[in-house]
Amino acid sequence: MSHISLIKVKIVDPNIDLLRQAVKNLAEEIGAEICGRIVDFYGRSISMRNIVLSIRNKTFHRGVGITVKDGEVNLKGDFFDVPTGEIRKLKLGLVKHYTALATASTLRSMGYQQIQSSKVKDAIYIKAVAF
Amino acid sequence: MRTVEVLIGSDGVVKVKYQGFVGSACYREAERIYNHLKKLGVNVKIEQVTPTAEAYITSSTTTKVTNHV
Repeated sequence: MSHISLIKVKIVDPNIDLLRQAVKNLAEEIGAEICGRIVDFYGRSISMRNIVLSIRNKTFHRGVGITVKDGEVNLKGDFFDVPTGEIRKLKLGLVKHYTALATASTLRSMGYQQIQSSKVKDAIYIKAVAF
Repeated sequence: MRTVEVLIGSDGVVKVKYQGFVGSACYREAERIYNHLKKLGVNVKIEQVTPTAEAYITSSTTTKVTNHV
């Protein structure tokens, strides 16, 4: 039998290596760079505690850290003057890239071969074949 | 040949298409995939399941009957 499923995903207790890679992939997509420091509106350093990786681009010019606390993935930074829509977009982008990496890893471990991953507009398309 | 196609949208919605499975195997495979994903920190909530035309093709077996005298 064959079917199509529509699912919604939520990241809880992520694999840190996959999360790091997802942040790097997201950074590449949004033209951001990995940075070692994030600052507040006044230019003061924000604690890097619990931050897995931090990135910076034009929109998030003070830097934004990706944290994991109690299994939840969150963004850390001073978002004054950053449009709310951009923050939401960043969160969803992280979920998209993490889900893509986790899906490819899952299919590989289940014996699927020829796993292809490509970008289709804003989405990520993965095709896996098992013989 | 079994195929799984996944389209991960930028809105948090994921579309998964299973093809080439026999009987209800695609549902079992979906379950296995979601369990694997959960172990990697991806919790899945199924919103909608739509059988495709292929869903109505069932597997068949042929048995050869031999007369023993």
